[in-house]
Amino acid sequence: MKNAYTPTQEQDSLPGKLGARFLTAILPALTPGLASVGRRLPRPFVSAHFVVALEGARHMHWLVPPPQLDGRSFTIRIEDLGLCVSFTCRQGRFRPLWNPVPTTDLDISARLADFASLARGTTDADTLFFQRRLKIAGDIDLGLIVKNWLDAMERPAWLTHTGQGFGG
Amino acid sequence: MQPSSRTIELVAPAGSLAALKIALQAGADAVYLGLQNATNARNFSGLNFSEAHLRSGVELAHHMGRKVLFAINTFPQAGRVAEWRAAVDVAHSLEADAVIIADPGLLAYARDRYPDMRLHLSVQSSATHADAIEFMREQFGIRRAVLPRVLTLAEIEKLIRQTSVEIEVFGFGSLCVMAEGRCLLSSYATGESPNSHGVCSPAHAVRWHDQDGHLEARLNDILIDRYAPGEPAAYPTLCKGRFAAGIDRSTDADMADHALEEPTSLNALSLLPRLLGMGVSALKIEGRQRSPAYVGQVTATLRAALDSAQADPARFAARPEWQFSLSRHAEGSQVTQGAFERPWK
Amino acid sequence: MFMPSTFPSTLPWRIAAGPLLYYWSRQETFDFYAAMSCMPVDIVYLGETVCSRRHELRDADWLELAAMLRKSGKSVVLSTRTLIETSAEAAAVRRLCAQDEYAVEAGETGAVGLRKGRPFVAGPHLNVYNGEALNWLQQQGATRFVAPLEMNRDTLTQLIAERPADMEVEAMVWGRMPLAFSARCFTARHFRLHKDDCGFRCKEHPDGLALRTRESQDFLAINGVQTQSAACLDLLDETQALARIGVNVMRVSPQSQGSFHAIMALDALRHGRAATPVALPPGMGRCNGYWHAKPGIALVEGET
Repeated sequence: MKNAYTPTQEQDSLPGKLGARFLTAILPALTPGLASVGRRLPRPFVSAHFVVALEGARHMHWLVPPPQLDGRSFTIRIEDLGLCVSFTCRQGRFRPLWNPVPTTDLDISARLADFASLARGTTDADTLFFQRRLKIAGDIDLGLIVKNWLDAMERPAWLTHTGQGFGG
Repeated sequence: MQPSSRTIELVAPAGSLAALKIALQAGADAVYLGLQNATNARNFSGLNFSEAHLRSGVELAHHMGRKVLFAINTFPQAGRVAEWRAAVDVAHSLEADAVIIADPGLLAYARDRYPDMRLHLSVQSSATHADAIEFMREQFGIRRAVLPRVLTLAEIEKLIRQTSVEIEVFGFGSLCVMAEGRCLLSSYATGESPNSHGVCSPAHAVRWHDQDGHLEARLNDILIDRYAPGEPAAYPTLCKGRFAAGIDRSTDADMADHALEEPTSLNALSLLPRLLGMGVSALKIEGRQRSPAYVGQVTATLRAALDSAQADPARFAARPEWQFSLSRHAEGSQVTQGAFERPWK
Repeated sequence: MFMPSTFPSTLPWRIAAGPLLYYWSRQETFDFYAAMSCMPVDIVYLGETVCSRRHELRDADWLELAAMLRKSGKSVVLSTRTLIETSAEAAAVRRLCAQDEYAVEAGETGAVGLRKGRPFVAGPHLNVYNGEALNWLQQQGATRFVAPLEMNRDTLTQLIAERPADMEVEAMVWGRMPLAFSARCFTARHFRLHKDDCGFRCKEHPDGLALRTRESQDFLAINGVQTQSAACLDLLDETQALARIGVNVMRVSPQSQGSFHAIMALDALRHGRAATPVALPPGMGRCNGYWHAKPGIALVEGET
């Protein structure tokens, strides 16, 4: 059964592997350094790179946003890196916000390790929330749509099977 | 030691096809799920099953020899009964193993239209004693009743002896302190309730505000709670908020406490041999709104514990790693045996 | 059985006093119902529906009140408990449903079955949201139903349109709304007492104990195992609209003050006179949001 919510199996694709390696191995090693750098990077610069990654995932059919995300704006804060990215979703595609507005429709913050375990699907968002490790502000209904969209997605095998020692 | 001749069916929640697959992999005997509308009590944005996903979910479950239970457990609203009937029709056409229903009007429809369909009485119907359950069996031929989380083990044991209807109890998950189906707190604050809309404290009415680590939860602007930095948070449901009572209004901000219920999760792990012994037929895990990660870990843990309890009930002991695995998912990070043991009596 | 012979059929609605939800002393309860017997109320619901530990009035006392009220021309209905938790409570429901001296209000499904086809009133917590459920209740013997509190004007209009012929409609129009029921006693919990050794502290709160948010907004009220609205439902301004859509009986839920005022206002209104003023217990606000399709806590004024 194939449809927008069921991604195709792309385990062995090169970008997938590289992305996984970056997330699970390289980033944590750089975390302390990145944190100081991250805070000094201009937000649009970071957002642009983040959105390239999201768009990559979308092209690989891992992240096909549901129509309810259209026209909405998002901010993701990676607390321990001091990184903050803002983007929107337009016509099913992710776009960086070049002139970030002070508040977006949805604002999510967590540490990198917790974001990574959410991305792997090994941690429950509510669990993190109860423990105050995941913060959410803005339109909570939109937050629920995002959460349930990510939950409904079946992860490519490389994502769930790599980097188990990381975070959690 | 004798293995127990009795077994308990492990019933896991599924808010998505991904959760359903993980629940089955983790050893659930049955999963319960709902359509993407107000016909079920977890009518949350982006949650639940399209018809296509339902079909593949049922196929997969049946292929593995497991069951799928369709929750159609809200109350059909006047003028819109057709939506609920359509959900029953879908359940029948997809060969659901049972439908979970609370409303007598809808039960009558299911009984008349599909006499062979297996009917479960939902927890939302709030049937708590043998007279009520036996009456629903006589009227609609219900085969199972899900008990509200308000009864002690002793009362459940008595009830099981007085009815031929299978009894399902909650074994793990966030705790409703109110009798299910008898709570209008959500609509009092937001206009939408589990009975009418299938939601409690709907997300569109929720606002979280974090200021210097102090987290405020508001529901339709009503301050439900304010958490200190690092303090565990909870779902913004009214019953779990902190409120003040008494004459002196000047100290409300500081004196407020959990006037109704502290955020807690039910965990019946250590009670499994007793539940087996008294003849409970099914153990339900709460949490269709939770992610596949939760469903997989909680189901696998309860599967292992149930297998152990069934193999040798007399020597069963809840292992620390099971308790750890369950407690990390608990709302408020607390665990209680709830009404089963009535610690508050 | 439900309609006193003296009732003039020209009036647009009858007035009911719902069951007393609080724990008042025996004397206060007897005084309250003595006064009630002189009120222009047509139907009086009697009995302890909230907590089976409350014992100021025994079954015999309730029956004495029932006889007194009947003698005053009131139609008396005995109400069964809403949440049954123990075999002893189930047995009490069985006894009440077995008698035919007085009418019965079924508080939950078990009581419906125990009437075995004999007439009863379907109480407000039976969750009747559609005509099919009403059809089924009528087959079981229901002659009247009390609408769920959270219905709004449109949904109630639709529900009444779907009801079987001869089924009467009652709606609560005044008093703190009973919103939820629990196995736990919140009053005992508030006083750090165990439920089975609660000291009956609910007796100190004749209208329940109000809860406020941390910003001092009045919100809920606790009454033993029951959670209520802090605000008093007030649909007195809406009674003509309620009657127009088919509500036959307007229910006043007893409070320590204002209940008789509300009954007199309802009586004035049904005789085409202006409503007499109603004094609420001190500090209690009003709400009517459900009827206006808003959150129940909301108060909409000056609109009908």
